[in-house]
Amino acid sequence: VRVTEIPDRCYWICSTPRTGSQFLCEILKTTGLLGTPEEYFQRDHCSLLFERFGAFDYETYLNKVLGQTSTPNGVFGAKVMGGPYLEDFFRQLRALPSQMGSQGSNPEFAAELFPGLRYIWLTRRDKLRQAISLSKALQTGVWQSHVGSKESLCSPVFSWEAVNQLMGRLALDETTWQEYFTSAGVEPLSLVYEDLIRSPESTVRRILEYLDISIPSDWSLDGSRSRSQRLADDESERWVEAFRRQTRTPPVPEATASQGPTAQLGYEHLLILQGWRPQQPIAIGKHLVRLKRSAQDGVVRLTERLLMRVTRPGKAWPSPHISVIFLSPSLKPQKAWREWLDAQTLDSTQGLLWCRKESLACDLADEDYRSAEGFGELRGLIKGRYVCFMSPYLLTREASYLETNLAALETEELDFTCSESPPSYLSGGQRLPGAASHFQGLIMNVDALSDELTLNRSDILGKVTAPPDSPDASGWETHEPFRITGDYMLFGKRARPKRVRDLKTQMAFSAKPDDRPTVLVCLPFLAVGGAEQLAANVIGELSATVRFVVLATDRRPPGLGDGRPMFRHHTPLVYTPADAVHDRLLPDFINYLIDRYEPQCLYIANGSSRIYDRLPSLRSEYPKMRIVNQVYDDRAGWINRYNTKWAHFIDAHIGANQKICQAYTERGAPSNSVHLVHHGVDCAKFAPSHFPEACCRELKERFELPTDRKIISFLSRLHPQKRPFDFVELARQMQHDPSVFFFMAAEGPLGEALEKTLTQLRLTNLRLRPFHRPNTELLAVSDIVVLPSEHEGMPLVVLESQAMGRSVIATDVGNTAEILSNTGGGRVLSAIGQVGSMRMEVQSLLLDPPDPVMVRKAARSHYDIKKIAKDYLSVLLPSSSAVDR
Amino acid sequence: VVLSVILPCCNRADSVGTVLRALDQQTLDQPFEVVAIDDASTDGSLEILRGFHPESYSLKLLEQKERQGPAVARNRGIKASAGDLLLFIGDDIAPAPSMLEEHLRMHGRHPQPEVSILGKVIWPDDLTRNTLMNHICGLGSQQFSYMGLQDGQECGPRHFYTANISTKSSLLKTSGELFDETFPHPAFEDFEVAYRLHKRGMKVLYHASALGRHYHYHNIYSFAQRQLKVGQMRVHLVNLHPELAKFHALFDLKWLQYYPLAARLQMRIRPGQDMHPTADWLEATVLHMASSYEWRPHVLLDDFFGRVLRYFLDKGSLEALYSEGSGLRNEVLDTHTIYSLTRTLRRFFHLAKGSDLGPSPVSPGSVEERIDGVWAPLPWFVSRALESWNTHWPRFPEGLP
Repeated sequence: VRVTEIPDRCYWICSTPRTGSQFLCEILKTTGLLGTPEEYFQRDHCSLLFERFGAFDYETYLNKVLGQTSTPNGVFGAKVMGGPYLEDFFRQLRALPSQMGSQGSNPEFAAELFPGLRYIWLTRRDKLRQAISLSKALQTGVWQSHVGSKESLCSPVFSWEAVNQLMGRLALDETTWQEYFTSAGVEPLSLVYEDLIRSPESTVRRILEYLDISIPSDWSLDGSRSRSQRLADDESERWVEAFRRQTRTPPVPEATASQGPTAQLGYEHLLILQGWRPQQPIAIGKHLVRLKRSAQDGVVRLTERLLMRVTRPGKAWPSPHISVIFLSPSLKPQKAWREWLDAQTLDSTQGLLWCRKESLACDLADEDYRSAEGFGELRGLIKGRYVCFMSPYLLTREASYLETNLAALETEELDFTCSESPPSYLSGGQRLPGAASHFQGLIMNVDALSDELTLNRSDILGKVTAPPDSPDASGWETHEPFRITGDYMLFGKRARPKRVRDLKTQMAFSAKPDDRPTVLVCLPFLAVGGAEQLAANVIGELSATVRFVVLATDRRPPGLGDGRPMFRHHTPLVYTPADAVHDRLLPDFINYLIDRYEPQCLYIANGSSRIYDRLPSLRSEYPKMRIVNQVYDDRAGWINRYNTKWAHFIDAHIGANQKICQAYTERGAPSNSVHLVHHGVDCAKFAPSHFPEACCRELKERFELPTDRKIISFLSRLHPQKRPFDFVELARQMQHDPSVFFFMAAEGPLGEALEKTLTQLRLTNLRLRPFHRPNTELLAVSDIVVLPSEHEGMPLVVLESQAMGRSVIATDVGNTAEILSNTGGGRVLSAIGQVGSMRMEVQSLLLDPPDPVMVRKAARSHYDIKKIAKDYLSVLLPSSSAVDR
Repeated sequence: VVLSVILPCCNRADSVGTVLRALDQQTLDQPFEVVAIDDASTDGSLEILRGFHPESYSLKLLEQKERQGPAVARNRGIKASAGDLLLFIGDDIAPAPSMLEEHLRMHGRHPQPEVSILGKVIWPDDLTRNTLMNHICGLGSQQFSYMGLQDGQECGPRHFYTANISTKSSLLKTSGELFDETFPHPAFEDFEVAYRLHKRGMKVLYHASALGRHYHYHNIYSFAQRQLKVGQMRVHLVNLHPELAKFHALFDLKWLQYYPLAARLQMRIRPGQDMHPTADWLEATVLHMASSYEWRPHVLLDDFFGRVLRYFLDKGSLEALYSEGSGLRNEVLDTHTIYSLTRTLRRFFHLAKGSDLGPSPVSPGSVEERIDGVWAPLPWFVSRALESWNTHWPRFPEGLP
């Protein structure tokens, strides 16, 4: 420990970024005569520096820095940046308890604290190259290059606006120094970067002379002791060319100096405000939005805390993030594989073709074949942090597979993710090193793999992400030697699930550009229900003019069917993060997708508390985004959460019938924000012409239904709301009627109780089977569809039946009565739960069936999805040009 | 003919065939007849009755062109019957093979003319049966209260269930006490005649071996409708026999005209505010909740179902007490709904909270919030006073001796 004493000669190296100040500091250190100059007063590194000097407050810190870093000859040096950093430095100095209430200008103040203070002003002649260098450093996070240090983790991207802006900014910072020197009435020692680089020794001599330090006669600069290297390369020259080419007038820094509202912001913020998306993710999100907004308003009041959070750098990505390896017998990649990879929502992927037979491999981007006999050799080609071996199984996975799995891998620091093996793919699965079983869709950290494709660590942590057809990963006990804890697969004694890290600092991408307006559709899960069906239909109808991003915010409960394929059929941008990422991050996924796709509208197609709890913050973070909500029932469910405060967060409320619309207004929604939009049915798909008689007969045989009886069907969920037992009782009451047969194609929470009852009743006129897609086939075999529900909004099954020309018997709930009076295709039951009257209506419909052609025609003119989708569009994007198209 | 079965029928095409067939499989070796009276059925019941040809008994079919109710139908049947004994059953009661024989045997053992024999009614195994149905014939006893009866005991006229009861025909015919034909719905008309007969000395003996199977599916919606009708008929009964009022807690109901005032005191209802939307929502919510538990056996549900059904019963009575068009009617009905259903729901949430009863699909959180919005929290001394008022208010025994 050095003796703490106050130096008698101090100097500041006054500079702006990228002027070689770091290089200068390092060579000054080597002299042993000029202190150990460093950037001691940079606010962003405050906490680190405090720690280093063991200080808890600024006063102690200042004393310790002055005492401990000066050379025995009593010289202290520090590097001080201009612009906002300088102002910040003085703010901190003035806040010192010992300096409370002291008057005087900044220079006087500084002279008091730093004895014998002198200034060395370092600038750079070529402002363009300085800005380019700064732009690159901001993007790559590499501020200085040392001998043997790591290379940049991502390649910077040139932007004229960014470089231009930074030039202005640098010029502005230089003026702050000029003003400072004028007010101090001093003449600093002016040094120029270009001279410094050319002859460091003479520069140091000038400094020694300036500070009146006698130079030993045998002194010379030991250049080899500086580890700094120049960062400028050919690329910088290309940027210079590009900038000059794109600038119509020659660059004059003074002319572009930004005097506007951004004057108080740091360099990083300038990039962000330019709409720049640095590849090194800067923690963005609500702070940035607040920043953006206040900058637009012309008022920037940034607290230090906020700035710290805005500028907190995220982790630098190795780019690309996932390398997908195509194991191919020939030197040509399979077309389907390439297509799958190209369709992935994750942009930063690398496709690698590896032909083991020929011991050759190549990156698909350059098709430059290199020898790769084993994985060790292939490793040289892998740019990603994770590898994934392409398999037929992966072809069955969705376009967001790599992205959601990457989110899990990154936020939970996993070594791998994988899916359960569905039996049909069992043989083709990827084998996890050391494990007895095969896995599907394995994505593995390269660092965890040895050159022999075995695990090279003793502790491995992985996660089971949901397979395509089962919502929960069960049956994992058998996968020795891995331990299974919940979703996690652990190998090794010390492997433990890690703390979950923030999504936004781990994942930051920009979306592929798209000229369509974007709508983010939120649902709790993608099951096979009315709400999902309707949303999928609307998406399908509008996807030519609108880009839809679909997000399921929760885990899909079992027994509700899988609606994901229905959505993926219409848009690749379907995210079911609950399959992979940690539950804690699910709410953040909404923000992540909004930041990524910048939707004009958030459409809550079906409610969930995850979404609704976020409404207030979404409203304040994205004030320009339109929020549209829809509920499906005027009595039960989410409508009960509505109140005046809540309705305030939502721009438009969609109701399928008058009762729902009324319920909205009763609960505080302004009436001009409530929109009556009927549900629609795809009449082209639900057409009886697709099912000629022979086809119906075949279907009936497939469903084990008699071909000579009228089929009466129940096609709703087995849920108390749908009252399936009333239908069972109807079948029981009509069991002696030889002309009818009852058919239930349904699943749901009451399934178990229903099966038990059916076993007990031993009905011979009822067939129960799981729900079936396409449900057109179910309707094709039905003659009458019964809907005994206790409450409904606008049941789709009624519309679909009518489009198919099938009769309907429904309780008078939602707007079933309105639909059936428009189409004339069925009967309405006035009371719920009255099986006797249901039986009588069935008998009367059998005697007097409505004309199916007329029913279909009426359904088509009122409820065709083409017509309804337009209504949706005008609510979702009222001011968009897509409405006109 | 030793026995006539009186079988009124109305729109039960699903069960009446089963009943007729069950009657054809009796172990009774003496001749008996079935007098079926069709009360203007429209669902094909009449065709079933007409087309049925029994092997072991004679079937007399009487037809009513207009709906007149079961009382009229039974009276016509009584007049047309030839048996010494009359057995009343319903159009959904399928007698067990020995049922008729058991009735006859018991009458042989008790030849006194004033003795009637009550048989047992159970749910058949081949009927869709839910928790509510177990409740109404079990702890709830809204339909049948066999639960409190012991085989062979004498029971009061309250248990004169025309689903399965036999009397000497002389008792009815000589006394001239027939069913009161002013009852439009099938409720309390059986009790009413039994009450008159009871005053003349009739005794009802319970014989559990005379077993009938009841083919009548119920759910909360259908039974709530039934309770409304029973409630209305209860008022009709009390109008006929004012001395019965105290047994039916109608004394309490009369106080309901002060409900609106009480509501202003206890509920957050402003003067002139329309209570109907709240009442409407509460009733629908309670029905949704009860319906969602229909298939879940749980010990807590008896309390809940009981209170819900009691509410509908009282509502029916209030509907009859305050005739259409009376100014107070809507206000009294809505007050009743809000007053009793908020209490019912609160009690249920309170009980359900610590239990293993799963959550109802009707999100209880929001329902509770809304109920709290309806009820003002009372100062403790007021609620204490109300509680004691409720506890010590004169109550009368539920049943007749």
